[in-house]
Amino acid sequence: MSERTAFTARAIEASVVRFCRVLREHGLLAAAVESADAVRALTLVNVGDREDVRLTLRCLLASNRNDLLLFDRLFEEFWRTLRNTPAAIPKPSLPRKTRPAPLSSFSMRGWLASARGDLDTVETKAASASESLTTAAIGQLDQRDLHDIMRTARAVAKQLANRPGRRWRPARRGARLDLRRSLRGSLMTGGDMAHLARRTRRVRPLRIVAVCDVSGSMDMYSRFFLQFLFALHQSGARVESFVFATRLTRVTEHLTRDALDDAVESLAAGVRDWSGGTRIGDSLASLEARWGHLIDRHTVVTVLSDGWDTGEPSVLDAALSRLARRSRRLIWLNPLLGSPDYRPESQGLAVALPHVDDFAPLHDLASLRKLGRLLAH
Amino acid sequence: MAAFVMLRYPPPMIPEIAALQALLEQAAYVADRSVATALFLADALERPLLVEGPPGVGKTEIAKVLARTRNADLIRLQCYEGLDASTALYEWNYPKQLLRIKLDERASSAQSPLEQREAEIFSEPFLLKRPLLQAITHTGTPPVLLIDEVDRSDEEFEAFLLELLSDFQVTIPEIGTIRATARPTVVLTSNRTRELSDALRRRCLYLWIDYPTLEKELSIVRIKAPGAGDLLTRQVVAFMQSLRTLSLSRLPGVSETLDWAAALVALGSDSLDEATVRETIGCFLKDRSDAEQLRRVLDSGGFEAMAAILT
Repeated sequence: MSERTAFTARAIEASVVRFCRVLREHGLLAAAVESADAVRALTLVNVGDREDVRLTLRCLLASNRNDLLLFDRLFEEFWRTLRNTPAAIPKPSLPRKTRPAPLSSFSMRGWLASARGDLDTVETKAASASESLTTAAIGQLDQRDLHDIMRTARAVAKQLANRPGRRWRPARRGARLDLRRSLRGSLMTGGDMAHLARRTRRVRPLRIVAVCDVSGSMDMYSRFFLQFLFALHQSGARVESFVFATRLTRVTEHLTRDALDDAVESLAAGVRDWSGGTRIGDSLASLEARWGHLIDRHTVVTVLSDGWDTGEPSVLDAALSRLARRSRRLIWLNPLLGSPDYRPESQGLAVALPHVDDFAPLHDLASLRKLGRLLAH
Repeated sequence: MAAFVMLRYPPPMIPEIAALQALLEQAAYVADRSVATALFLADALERPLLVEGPPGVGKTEIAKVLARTRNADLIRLQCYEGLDASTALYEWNYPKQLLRIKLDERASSAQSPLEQREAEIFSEPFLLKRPLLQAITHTGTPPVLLIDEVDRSDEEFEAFLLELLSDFQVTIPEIGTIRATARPTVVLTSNRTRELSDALRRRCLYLWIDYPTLEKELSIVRIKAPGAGDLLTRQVVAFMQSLRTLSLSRLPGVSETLDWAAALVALGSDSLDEATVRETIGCFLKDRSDAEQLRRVLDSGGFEAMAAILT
């Protein structure tokens, strides 16, 4: 190998390693092993050919469909630097994944303050219709109650998420014979199966996809609902959480923090449209379009909303019908249902009810306990 | 300006990738460059290839064609929920084992020691090899191992698969460790009904196959459905391409295009008309609400625009 090519190979290696670092910073999986493989792969193809290099590196360093667009954009930068090698890769000017945003809603601010300890300063936008309910719901829920919520949520998660799976495990009173173990045992008795081993289906947890309305009309319950979601995440169940007002945001990463305070702070920073208007239909449609791969026959979809939709009813109808078909069970939890003089007559709910498997109230700890019992059936 | 002009010509490919692409084309698979590059790298780096994409774009076909071009055996493992080691890797042949034990009893009253009897019935003749073990113990030309719809299997199986794919060896407690004599080429496909683990994604090369472009789909139909006339082919492909711009719940893939073309040939059509489309909707739309949506488009006179050939 001549000196010149040796230099080029080293230069390629350096820029590939740098490129991998940039990719990692943008959330791609490109790990150290990959960068070694990438360098090796580039010795196999024509490094002068842009398309060869792009396809080769993409194959190795992207690992998800969602990565592809980002990869192609970052590759442009990389290719430029590879062409005039000595230069370092400039920091790409793409937006980072999480940027702290100013708190957008007054009530969220209040909640944040309360999460930090001074509960009494909380102010809520109380709708006149169910004021008494509100005060009860919010007054009850300080840090002390969180423990109860956690315990109940764990029970609810268990009801929601457990069903017999397809796999087997040994069990003394299992329904089926375990031939393999029986045969092993029979060796001791010369082929006579004196003891029959049995097996049963292993319980397989379902995934819970929770979609929580945080629009203005839900302000007074959002807090409880988010506590409930946080508790669900803590329960060890497989949960994916989303919040929406006018558009949908995935909040799973915020809710998997260890402490509720951290989760709230991170949520407040990560979600833009707290307390905005409501577009349930559009939000659920985008859930199906963007995150549809999370929803399959092992998924329970739970919508937490009062059903006041300002969008087109036909959009909500179509979105819910698709979600209902795609998921195992579709549950709608409505905070207003707990109030004695409430009738679910809003247009949104009228459209939604035919698609929903379970429609239940949820606004405080007592209703959460009832929910656990309801789901047991 | 000069640089711009140069970019318009396809840049030269390295010979291996170009040769592979030509080879796939000969085997009636229209592969674009990303597919050929991915397959080339999977071999060169000895890494499994994870192919993702919407249903019906030819993911499974890649493995089949690859095996055909190499004269290699194709070993296929169809994944489903609850798939476990005993159906994917190996299982003991219990009836045969039981028979042997009984026969031994009759043959000699003087029993051989327990260990020996045990070793005998837990030996290779009593082993049922399932696809993964077949791929590992395969001799001769390294086979192509197709792990189809891996997203349908569960997380436990995925973890097990990961272990197998990293060192191609299997330990059977009763026999010992079996190591692959020749590393099979591994192709995994996924329809993304579930997110695969990062670990598995890391292990694999990644290839996303999307719905084909107009040109690609034209060449696929020409190769796969040679019975269709040129006009019919162009119209069918144009129609399918515009169909995919509608917001349907299940977009039709290339396999639907081919089914439809074959059906039209069987019906003796040499060009597309609205009545035929209405009669044969079931060939390419498999969802009632999608079919209704198309009928509405046709009702409002959308047929001409959808089947229009761009020249």
